[in-house]
Amino acid sequence: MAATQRAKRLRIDIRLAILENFKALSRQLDVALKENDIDSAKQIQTNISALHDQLDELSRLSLDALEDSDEVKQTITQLRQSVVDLKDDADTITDLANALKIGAQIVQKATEIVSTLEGITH
Amino acid sequence: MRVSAICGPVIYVSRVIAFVGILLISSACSPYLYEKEITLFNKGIDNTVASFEELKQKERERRVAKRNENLKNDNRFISLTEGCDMLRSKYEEGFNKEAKILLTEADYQDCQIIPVGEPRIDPLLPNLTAIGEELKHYAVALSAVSNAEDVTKLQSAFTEFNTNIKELLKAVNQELSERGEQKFDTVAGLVYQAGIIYLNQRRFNALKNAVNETHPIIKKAAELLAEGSFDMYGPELSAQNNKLITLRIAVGNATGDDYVTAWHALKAERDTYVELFRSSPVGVFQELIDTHEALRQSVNDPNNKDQIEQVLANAKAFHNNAKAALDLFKKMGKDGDGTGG
Repeated sequence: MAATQRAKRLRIDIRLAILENFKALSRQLDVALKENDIDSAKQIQTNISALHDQLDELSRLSLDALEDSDEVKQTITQLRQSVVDLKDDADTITDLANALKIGAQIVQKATEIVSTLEGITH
Repeated sequence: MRVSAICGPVIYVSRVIAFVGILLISSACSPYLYEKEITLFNKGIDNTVASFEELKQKERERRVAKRNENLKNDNRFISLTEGCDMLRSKYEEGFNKEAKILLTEADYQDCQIIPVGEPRIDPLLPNLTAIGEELKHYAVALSAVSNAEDVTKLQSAFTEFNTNIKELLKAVNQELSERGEQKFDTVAGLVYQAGIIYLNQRRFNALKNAVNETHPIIKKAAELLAEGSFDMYGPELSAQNNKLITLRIAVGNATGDDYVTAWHALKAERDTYVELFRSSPVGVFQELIDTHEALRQSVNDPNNKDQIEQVLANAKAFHNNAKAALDLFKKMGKDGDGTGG
């Protein structure tokens, strides 16, 4: 499903068709250069550049489509929730560490009481 | 009197010791085992998101240049919308009514220049940017779970406690001795160890739950950012390919030394073109996913040493490649010519 959405956003069929044209033009450029036909070569260069512009425009359109997609918005929400959950866990553990520290202090107090009682009863 | 006064605490402490013993026997997995890997993962994400920001900056420059070109070509009459005239009256009315500013974001948006130009430049891609920021927050939260700061504090508290525990230990050992049970050398050390094991287990469980439950979301987030990077990176490939074609035409009929110079020039541009594909951020985002997946597999099978080594290997590769990608984008940014805002 995600791959289909991506292909749709990228308009991958059109991109691949443009790249096929690009390959054909590149071959023509090679021929023109071998024949030292610079005028034709420059015309082919202009055509190739136009194909690149088309590809870049498609990239810009698919970037905007991605930015506006529900997939992106949903992922932000899910990521935020994951971070909140993880922070809650970390806080709980820190609370536990503090509780253990307080526990140690309480037991220490108990020790002092036991020692005092021992002193009284001996 | 003597027996009842001491027996209560002693029995309580004995129970604590028994509980501690059980905890000590049961083995616990340490999240700190993954601290280094998570730190590398964290740095990798920072660099990856920074690369995304560099790409965004280039995208912004392209959009600004295109907007300026379009404005120049259209050459339409420049004006402002009526919303701009409304701002002052609404501002004053609001102050008159409630002594405060009653203007809303919609009011500000109603004031626009005509022609509007490219409206999606500032802010550029706020949603994809938010995904990058949330990924960073996630990595920081993972680090927090695997951070040993509270253990250090706990250790210091128990060290202090241990120096004052001798009397209690004497009483406990007396009780144990009367029962013919084994005595303890130190109670505090035992309680401390149990506390750490308990904390480690809690931390480990938190880490395990997080990486398992979050993995599909991390994967999706990385894939979406990879797609955004793919879109923004395309024009870089186009520009370099245009350079190659220009050079092919320029070197077409060179001879002698010029031929060799031309050959080197084209080869250098070819190398740059190939390097652009190798450094595509799409690859780095895949490594982010792979590293998180290796971590996920490792926390599910913590005794598998090979798997732990795999996490480190992935984290190192991810960190290094993310750094290399960032360096490249920074270089591209410096080489590029900004066109202003």
